[in-house]
Amino acid sequence: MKDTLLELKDLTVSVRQEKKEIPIVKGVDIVIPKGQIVGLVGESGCGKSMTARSIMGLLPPSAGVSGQILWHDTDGTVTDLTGLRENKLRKMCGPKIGMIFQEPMTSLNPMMRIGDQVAEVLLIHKLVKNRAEAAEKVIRLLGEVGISDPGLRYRSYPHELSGGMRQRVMIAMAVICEPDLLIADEPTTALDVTVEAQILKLIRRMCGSYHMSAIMITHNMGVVSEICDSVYVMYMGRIMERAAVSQLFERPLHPYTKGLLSSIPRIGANPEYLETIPGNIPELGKEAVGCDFCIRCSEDEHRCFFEHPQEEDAGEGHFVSCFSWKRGER
Amino acid sequence: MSEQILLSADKVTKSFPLGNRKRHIAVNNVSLEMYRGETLALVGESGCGKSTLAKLLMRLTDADSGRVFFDGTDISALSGRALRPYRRKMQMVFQDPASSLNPRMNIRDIIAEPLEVWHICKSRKETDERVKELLDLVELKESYLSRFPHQFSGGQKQRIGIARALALNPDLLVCDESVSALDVSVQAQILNLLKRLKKDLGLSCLFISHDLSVVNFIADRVCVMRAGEICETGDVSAIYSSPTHDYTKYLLSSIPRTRGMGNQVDPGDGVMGS
Repeated sequence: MKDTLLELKDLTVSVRQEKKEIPIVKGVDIVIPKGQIVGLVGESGCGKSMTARSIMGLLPPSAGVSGQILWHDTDGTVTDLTGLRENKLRKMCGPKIGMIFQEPMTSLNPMMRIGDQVAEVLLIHKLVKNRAEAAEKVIRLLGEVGISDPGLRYRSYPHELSGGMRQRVMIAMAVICEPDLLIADEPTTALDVTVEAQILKLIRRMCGSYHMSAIMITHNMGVVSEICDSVYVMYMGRIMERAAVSQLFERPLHPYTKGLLSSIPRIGANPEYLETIPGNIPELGKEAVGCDFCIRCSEDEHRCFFEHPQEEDAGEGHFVSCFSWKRGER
Repeated sequence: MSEQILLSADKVTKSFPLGNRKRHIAVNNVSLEMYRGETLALVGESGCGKSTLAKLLMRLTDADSGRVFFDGTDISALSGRALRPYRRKMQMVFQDPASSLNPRMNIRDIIAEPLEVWHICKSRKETDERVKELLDLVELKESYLSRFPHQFSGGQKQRIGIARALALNPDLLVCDESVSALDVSVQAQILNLLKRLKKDLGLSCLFISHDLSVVNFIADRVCVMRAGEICETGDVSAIYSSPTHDYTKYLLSSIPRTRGMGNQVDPGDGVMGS
């Protein structure tokens, strides 16, 4: 495909624990088109972070990856990132792929001035000639991400900044090399609503002005609806449903997606009790024979327990892995 | 709802030293009233003083000035032994379920601890009965009794925390960001549980949260806090349909909404000063 940036094909990640291989991500296919923001949603432990980390090779040493991660470069070459040696992959991380981590408190170096931390990326990848040029670039970007008085803030340490400000520094660090892909792993989970709204707006603007694609990992459906173009719903390491954002919110097909959407308390609707998904997420490593969701599903039928549902086309770019989605259509 | 006042604060102020001879005023001259049987929500951004205010109301910290009344008694004047009976009537559920349970105690011991401290039950058998009753109340299985906290999911741990808080039949339950660390589907379960308990047990609940949609679901009345002061108080429906204070409007406009749910208001790119 011409306008694809990144393609995950049958990606499987497993972690070795007590001599057992526990699959975390089970055959995931994701396509990131150029210039689009793709959301990856699911509850904690569903493997969304592991999927994203596998792209940058940031998995723990005990993890094994199979499948393909295909990077479509601007000059038309296609590289499989899983087969890349570490030093080659390092050259991609930064200039080609940027990542924003969840906790801005712990992912910045507390002993280093924030300006120097952002400039470090430029210096390591030799994108500037000297420190002065790097500093100039950093200060301009710090201003762009909404840090007031960037010349002065360049010399601040992380502890002198608020959570929202630190997250802005993280964003600056991720985009300073003008990467093609931005991976944002729960970028606003630790932040207040007001700051969240500002940060989301900023990410959206940055993607627009640098022609970036982005993967937005979150468990917040509101965030997805606000910022993403398309969305993948993940459960127990598998993609349950994928669609354009407007499609998914207007016509959720998978019982899991419906459950997720109806368990959000909404302003305006005042039910006596919220709808919930019964049960809990099963423990890792306990592999179901049939559909992973069947034990919590409200629309389960006999074969759900014995067969894996294949992904079916529901029209208009909407795909769902469920036997009973047609029945559930309203 | 009865109009009997359970808890009230009269012009309480609390400040913390900043080091350079200045003080940060965390709670500034706040007065509020809470009725018996209602759920009152405190909302605001982090650092606005909502947790400090809750601690002042429970007398976990002492106020610089002002008074706190619980059930008509000025508890800010009491100390030590005189305060103890009131401790029993106020219990708290914390934000992080993982760090608020002792990892080396099993579930039975965790829930039984307040009962044993207060010598509520006469025998071990009676304690066990009460613990089972509490587990049943929070919809956990009896077979979990001998398990340890790490064997539970976040939602289950939060249920254990709630069971422990309810062990002493408190009048007031303070939930400090109790559902913020949970996933949406689990969050919905816990919110339903809290709402049901409030109804069944006639609990009054002080619910601290930054999530306005959660507050909308669970609260009867809302106090909006900003920079140590309460800027708006009112019934949930009034606050959400016709907010009068600019800050409340700003907070409401910042909520990310799922599509088709009301119009978008631009939150602006600026940073709110404190």
